Amino acid sequence: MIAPPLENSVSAKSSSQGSAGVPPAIPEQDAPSSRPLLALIWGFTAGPTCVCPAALANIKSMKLFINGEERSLEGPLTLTSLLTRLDMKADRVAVELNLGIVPREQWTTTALAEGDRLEIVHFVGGGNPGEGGL
Amino acid sequence: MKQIISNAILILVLARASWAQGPTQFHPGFNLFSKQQDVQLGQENAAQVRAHMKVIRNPVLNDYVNKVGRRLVAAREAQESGFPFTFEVVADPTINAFALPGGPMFINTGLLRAVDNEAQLAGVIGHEMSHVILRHGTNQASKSKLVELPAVLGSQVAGGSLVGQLTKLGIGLGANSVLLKFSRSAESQADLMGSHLMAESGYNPMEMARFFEKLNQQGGRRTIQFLSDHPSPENREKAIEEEVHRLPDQQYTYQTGDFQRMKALIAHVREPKPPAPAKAQ
Repeated sequence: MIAPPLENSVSAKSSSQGSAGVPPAIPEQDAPSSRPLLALIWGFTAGPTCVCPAALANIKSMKLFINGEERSLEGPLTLTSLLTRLDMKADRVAVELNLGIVPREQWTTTALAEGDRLEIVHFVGGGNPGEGGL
Repeated sequence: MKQIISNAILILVLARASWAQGPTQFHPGFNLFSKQQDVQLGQENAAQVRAHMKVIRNPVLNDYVNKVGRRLVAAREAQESGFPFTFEVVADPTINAFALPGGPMFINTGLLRAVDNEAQLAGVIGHEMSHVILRHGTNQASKSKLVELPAVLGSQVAGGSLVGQLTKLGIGLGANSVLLKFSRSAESQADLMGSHLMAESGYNPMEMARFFEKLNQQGGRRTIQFLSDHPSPENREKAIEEEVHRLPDQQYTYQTGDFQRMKALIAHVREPKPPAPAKAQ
């Protein structure tokens, strides 16, 4: 019961400022910089072509067990995109998904799901420590 | 009195007979290194191996070789040696495995791909472990640098690099390293002690011989490092078979149960070209 009068007083003050022609420079300067920011937020949360709940559902965090370690990764993911995300050389590694080997040619079409267990055989060291660090 | 003497003779004869039928006993040969220096040397060399070779970091494969390895480590001769054995897999298509003094062992993906069953893998691991137990590497080095070594080993400062010192003497880890190039008699000893470790672990020692024979038929000695400079497979098979007869009768039925999973994974690994020249036999 106390708040409304306060709100009213603030809006009354700002509108009075605006109508009185007192520096409109500040709100005008704010406007261009806040617009892209808003657009950015808008783009991320809903997007201009809003398919809201479905779009949000697609980009979600997914729990995977990779070489025995629990990892949280943004989905959706195929095996190929996971290997790219992990920076592993796809032409060399072997992949086992939920105890079954996935042949290399099926990696692009194999979608990963929450709770999947992966074993990825990859190499480290040998003068190329960056390769496939996990 | 006559009775007692004849009994005593009988006992002696029996004791002698059972001793003769027991497994061949081996003891490490002449060595200027202390066992602790074996361990230090191996650990320093292992760090170099990890820096130069591509080591597999996958729990399924690592756990697998460790299960097989630890089973063999539990055998009497390995326990008595007191060496801290470790087992790692390196991405190298060559059919090979090598153990450094004091216990660090590296198993090539090429070897995992080549074995037909777990006992064959245990055979190669057991053979390599035996080189460590019998200290063949440092024995060899001791013999070849008889004059220079005592000064180096005696002046070894705590925390200093043993590998660095030995490299100055030409005892490095490169191809033809004296630490990894064993004599034929050392290889034969490793076969027999390896068969002890296998038998105690429940693996059939004859699978070691069968694996050597298979490699010999498959690729010849030039392409398979493990065979080069080793005794001929036929002789090895015969010697191992004779040794098995000296061991207590038993069933060889042990398996980890993970062999097929390991094989499925390893079949899909594509190793890079071997980065360094041959490391071991």
